[in-house]
Amino acid sequence: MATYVELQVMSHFSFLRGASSPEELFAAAALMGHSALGLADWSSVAGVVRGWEGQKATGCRMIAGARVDLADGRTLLLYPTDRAAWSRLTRLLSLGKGRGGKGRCILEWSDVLAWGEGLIAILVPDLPNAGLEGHLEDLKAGFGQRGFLALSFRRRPDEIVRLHRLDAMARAAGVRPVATGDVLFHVAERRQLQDVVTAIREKTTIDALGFRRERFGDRCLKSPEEMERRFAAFPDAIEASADIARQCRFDLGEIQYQYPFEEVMAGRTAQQALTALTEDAAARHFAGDVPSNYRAQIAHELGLIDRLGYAPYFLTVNAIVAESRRRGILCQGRGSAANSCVCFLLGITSIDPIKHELLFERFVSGERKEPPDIDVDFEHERREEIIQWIYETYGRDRSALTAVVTRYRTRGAVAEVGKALGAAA
Amino acid sequence: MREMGRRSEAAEHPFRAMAPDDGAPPAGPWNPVAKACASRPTILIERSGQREVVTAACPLALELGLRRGMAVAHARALIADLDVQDADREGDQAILDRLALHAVRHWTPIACPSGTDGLWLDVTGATHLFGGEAQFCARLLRFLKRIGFSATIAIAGTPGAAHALARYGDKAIALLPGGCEAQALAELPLASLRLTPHALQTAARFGLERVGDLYPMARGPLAKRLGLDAVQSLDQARGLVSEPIEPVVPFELPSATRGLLEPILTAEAIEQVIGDLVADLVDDLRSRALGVRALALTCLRVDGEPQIIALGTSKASRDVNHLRRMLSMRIERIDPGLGIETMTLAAPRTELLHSEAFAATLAGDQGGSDIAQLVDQLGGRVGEAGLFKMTSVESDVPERAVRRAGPLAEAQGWPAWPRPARLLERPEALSNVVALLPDHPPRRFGWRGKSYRVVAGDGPERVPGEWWRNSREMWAVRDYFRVEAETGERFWVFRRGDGVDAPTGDLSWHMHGMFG
Repeated sequence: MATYVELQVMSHFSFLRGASSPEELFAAAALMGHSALGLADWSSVAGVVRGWEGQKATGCRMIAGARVDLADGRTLLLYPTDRAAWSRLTRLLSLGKGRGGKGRCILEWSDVLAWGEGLIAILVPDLPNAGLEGHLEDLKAGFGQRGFLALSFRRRPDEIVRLHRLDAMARAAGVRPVATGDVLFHVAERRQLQDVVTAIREKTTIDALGFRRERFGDRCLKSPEEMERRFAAFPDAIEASADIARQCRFDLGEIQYQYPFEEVMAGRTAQQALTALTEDAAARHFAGDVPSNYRAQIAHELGLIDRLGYAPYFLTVNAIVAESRRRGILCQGRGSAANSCVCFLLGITSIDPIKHELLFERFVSGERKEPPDIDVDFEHERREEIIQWIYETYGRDRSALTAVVTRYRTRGAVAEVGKALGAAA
Repeated sequence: MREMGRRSEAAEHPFRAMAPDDGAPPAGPWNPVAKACASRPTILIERSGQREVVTAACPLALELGLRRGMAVAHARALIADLDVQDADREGDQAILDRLALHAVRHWTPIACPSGTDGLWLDVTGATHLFGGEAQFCARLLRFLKRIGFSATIAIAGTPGAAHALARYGDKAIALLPGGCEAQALAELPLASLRLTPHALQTAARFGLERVGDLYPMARGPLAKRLGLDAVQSLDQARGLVSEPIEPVVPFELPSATRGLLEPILTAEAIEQVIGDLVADLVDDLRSRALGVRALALTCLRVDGEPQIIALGTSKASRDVNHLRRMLSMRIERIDPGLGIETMTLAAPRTELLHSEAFAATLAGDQGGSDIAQLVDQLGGRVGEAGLFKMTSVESDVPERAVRRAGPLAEAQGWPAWPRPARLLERPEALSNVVALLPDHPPRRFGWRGKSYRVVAGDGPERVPGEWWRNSREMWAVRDYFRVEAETGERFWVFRRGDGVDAPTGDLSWHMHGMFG
């Protein structure tokens, strides 16, 4: 059984840098006999969900992390060892992206230190020079045993000498070197695609790209045996990769929805509060005399909500809708939420699902292992008021307007690739 | 007002000449374009940001409802059989400039292009030469039609009014009596005033549509809403503020001529005349702040046969000694025959060259000496093509990493990675190579009939083929190794293929260079 674990992989979620999807990477890794793969996309963890799918499909474990390029030029791979560290990593990325704006991430070494507890930091060096010496000292001081130095073959002149010097410098600074592959794609045949996406990123054509292309060779995923053969002179660096993999036990499955605490709960559980609210609303709606079919439907819905633990989510939506009613801002629930009698009675939607014989299971069901989405439209002119209220109530750093990962659709992709290859637009 | 009474004229051609399909600008008289757009509706387009916009439409297309500013996709959807061509702004501008020059030479001393589609002519006191304003305009239209343009012409007391009437009036020739600018403009749309798009948008929001709408408005608020420029162009159009036209000045080739009393035959005499001609030319150049990039010396012989010497300089120059030396070097190429009676020195190519202050040389600071003159002299002896400088190209393939550049070109830096002192023009195959796969340097190899034992090696440096250049390099990979032979020589050898995948190469070994 091979010990090496690949820890420097960028998928195509490193937009216009990587050239393979996480699924492809994990499928290739499993075929080659990798036991785990560290996914460290550029300033992002956007690829981990697909990576997790890859893990479930192939059995090759995903070690979720991220690669950050600091403002002072050093590059780090950060891997969380547990769930708390994962939260710190995502906080760190949010901080950098908040500063950098679209498509950029501005981080300093001090930020990494501030959020670095429980993170494993792998410094990716360029040349063994005085600058690196300082960075190694910082790494040792800030991360101790959790700091590593990446060694990877670039296929450039004097490579062996470079690696031996890096190894020596790391040991002198008390930092353990770790072998990595610096992977950008899963098979060698993706090299051309990688050149093309680099040209798109640099907004130029492939002919004019020059030295802005990735100049280090051999960026495809290699088998663990091949990596161990290459790093035969650095057995401890291979060992270190396995040690890092052992320490990083965080699994995406540990992440759960964390619902906010709502004031209406007032000492009760969320489910109790929701039940009370719904019953009050029903009594008001039917003037005290709730028909039995409604009573049964409400009990059925509340039962399912209870079993799946979605009650706090309903309370939050209810709070937002109630606030907008209080302010006299028009709002209207739409979509599948209209199938729910609870939503109807709480006033989130305005269609009576029983009168129209709508099926609740199309909204929430035990089969679907994810919370329902309740779409609510607000009056266009005054929507901003509600957004501001949400910021005030839940905190600016706990609310977000939708976050979207940029990607190409077929038409755009063909247009961009055509441009990169120099075809007339 | 000072400018009142001057007569400005703006001519516009709603549909400009089509460039011929081969892309070459029409030489001499402009090609008639009537036939270019006779059969099919034709539009010119231009990209603006993400979308393509119609910049001009032929009369046929205009009739079918296509308009300037329309999205091209929309136009194509409206008309199936549409001829779409790219607009050539630079070409249009060049034609407009030539038209302005023509106007200066033939009609009036003050003329210049106006915007991208018009010409200003200040015809004050010039039209009587052509039989009055109406006659002049008719003649102008005929001329433009002959060379393939349709146009509208307006004559007014201010450039702004003429601009507006020519573009937004309804007559092909509009003659506005002096002093009526304000009334004539009142009914025209605001766009006729040369406002910025932003000012136009703002005006539309306030419900201002006609120029006349602006007359009663207070100037302060108007300037605040639409910008000072808007108020200024309104005043200029009405003649309240002057708007001088910056005329184009026709460029005359700098040249000097000497007619000789006695035909000359000897090199010394020719050299003497060259010296005089150069001095005359340099005087002319200095007064116009120009420097020579190309010189042509024409010696007219008694028998009417011209002898021409042409030379170029690598940098604009008007140094008497330098130019004289360069010409003298070529005297031997002149065949005086029975004698030369006229010599003309012209500078067909010049560049702006302003006087430069001498660098302070107090501290014995020599600075970098200018090699341009040396380059010219060497070029005169060995030919321009024989002089070059090597510069790097951003490519990892060694054969493509260098190229020749002009002797005065700025050379790019050299790669940080070690490269052999001598690169073989063509890689030479090695024989009897013993090497371990996939990534070890060879142990021994034979080259040019000699066998070498390798004692040290570094590599591989992996150079992938540049697949975008040709399809054979799609998968090709070269692995370069630096090897040191037992005898002390260091070589740069490579293997075709990465040693793992067959399509990357046939694993043959080659010698590509030697280190010093």
